[in-house]
Amino acid sequence: MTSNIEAHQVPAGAPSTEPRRQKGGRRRRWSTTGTVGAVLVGAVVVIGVVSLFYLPYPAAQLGGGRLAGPSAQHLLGTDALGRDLLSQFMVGARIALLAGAGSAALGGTLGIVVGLAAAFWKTWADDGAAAVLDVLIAFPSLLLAMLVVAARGATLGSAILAIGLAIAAIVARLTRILAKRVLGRQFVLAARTSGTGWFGIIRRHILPNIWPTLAVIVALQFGLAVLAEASLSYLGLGAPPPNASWGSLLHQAQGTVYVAPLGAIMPGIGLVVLVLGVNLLADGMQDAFDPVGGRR
Amino acid sequence: MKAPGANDAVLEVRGLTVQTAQGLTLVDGLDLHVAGGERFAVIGESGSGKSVTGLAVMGLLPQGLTVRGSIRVCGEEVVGAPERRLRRLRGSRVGIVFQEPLTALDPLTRLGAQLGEALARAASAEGRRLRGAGRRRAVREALEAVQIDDADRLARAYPHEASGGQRQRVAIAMALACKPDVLILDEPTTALDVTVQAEVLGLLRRLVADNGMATLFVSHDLAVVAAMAERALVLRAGRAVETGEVTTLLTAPRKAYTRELVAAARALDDSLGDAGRAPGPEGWS
Repeated sequence: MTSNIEAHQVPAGAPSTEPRRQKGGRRRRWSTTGTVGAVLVGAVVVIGVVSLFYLPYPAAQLGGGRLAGPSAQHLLGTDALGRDLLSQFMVGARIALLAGAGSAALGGTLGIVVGLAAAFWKTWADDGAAAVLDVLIAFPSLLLAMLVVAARGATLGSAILAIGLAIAAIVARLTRILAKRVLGRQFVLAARTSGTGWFGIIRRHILPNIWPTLAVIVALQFGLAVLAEASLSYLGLGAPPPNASWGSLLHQAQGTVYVAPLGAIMPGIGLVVLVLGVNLLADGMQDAFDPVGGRR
Repeated sequence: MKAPGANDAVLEVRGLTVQTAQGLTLVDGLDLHVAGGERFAVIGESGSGKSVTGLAVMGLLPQGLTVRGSIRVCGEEVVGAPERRLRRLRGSRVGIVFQEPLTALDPLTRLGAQLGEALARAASAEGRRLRGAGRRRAVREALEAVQIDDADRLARAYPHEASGGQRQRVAIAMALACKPDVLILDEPTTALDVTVQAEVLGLLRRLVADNGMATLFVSHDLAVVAAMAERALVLRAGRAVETGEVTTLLTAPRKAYTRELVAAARALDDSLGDAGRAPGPEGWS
């Protein structure tokens, strides 16, 4: 865990803020990287939240003139059916955030619970769990998504479920390894010598020692989930129009990209901004969470 | 209820055999007997099985080791006991101090919180709740009992911010939190430098005398054993070589191996001269 954290220090050149010593000496560094990431993610969040209350046009409203260029009425122009692109883009931001947050929350929770359970199980059950997780991770997530969609229909919920399961396997495997590593440390033995039960050991020792790494991993998975949902939508396995995600906007715009490039460019920019923002934010978290600042 | 008579064995080990999954024997048919309040030592070189013995008494051997024989702590069998029973035993009857306090303390938890947790657990075993200001006071008292001066500051520190001696004092305070009948000291001063070692040994002697608990002192250092124990067992390759009064063992060893150990320690001492031994536990030579 330690080496993992130390391997990703602030990128060279990023002028990190001066290490601050807080009461008790726990070092907190909040890097520029993290700030930039927070701003990028924040921009998308603002667009997504605004889309709940205000859209220039209802996302499904036709009749703006087909494939119109940007104008005062339609700031980003319209698509092939005459729908306002800005409205669709704003709805897409909301869908992307929902997909990312939903999958990360589902995958993170499920993964941590399964991973901790595996770490504490007796050897054979643990070996079994590890094998199952390896198979799950090797299983093509697109195929998994198609199975889920086939069973539940193409909705945002299906996409979140499918992506969440794939994330859960990754998080569970990592949790299991991190927890086992902490379990092997002597302070866990020392805690057991004073009669601490397993629940107390998880709460007092395992979670505080592994959650910084887990939080960063789950944050990174958030970014991957956004991309995965866009891919599923692009393939027609995600939320259907008109409440379309950026992935289906890209799909729609594919045929008309030379006539109305904004239809493809905007969702692309949206995805890049959100995923880059999330990754930078995760980097920032990593620096800030490393509590001892290069322990030992 | 917690002070067995001086002649009752608080720790009784019979035919203890520990084997690895590969069939390697770490401890072979070990017998030992520690009476209430007695200070007992297990002497042996690295790999002789002394630390394994200490862990076995706690019921904390790593998975994959098979244990045979019998270990009774205050009459309760440890070998084969379910985890629930062991946990109660560990929280009340036995405490252990490990060699390296830095690894025995959670790096991400403040020292006061770790000690407070141990104290609260010991209190709840007696049916008391210890939280808030009461817990903070108990932590301060426990730290002062192990001769830590700026207890309030240290309670807020993380392990890496404390010195080796302070860390080991905190670890000792944690082991003492449950007022154990038997305190296992697994080379508690080996990781400390010599002057700190002398202070910690002095502290341990005083604490053991004050609390009247029995100790199982595991060490390879004969001078330290002489200062810390009345009786000792010499362990070699998992087998008991010789058991007896420490003074007898060190001045008139009967077995060749014990003689070798004593001679080697003496030779080392002589070659180091006066500077070799720090002021501290009164030497035996």
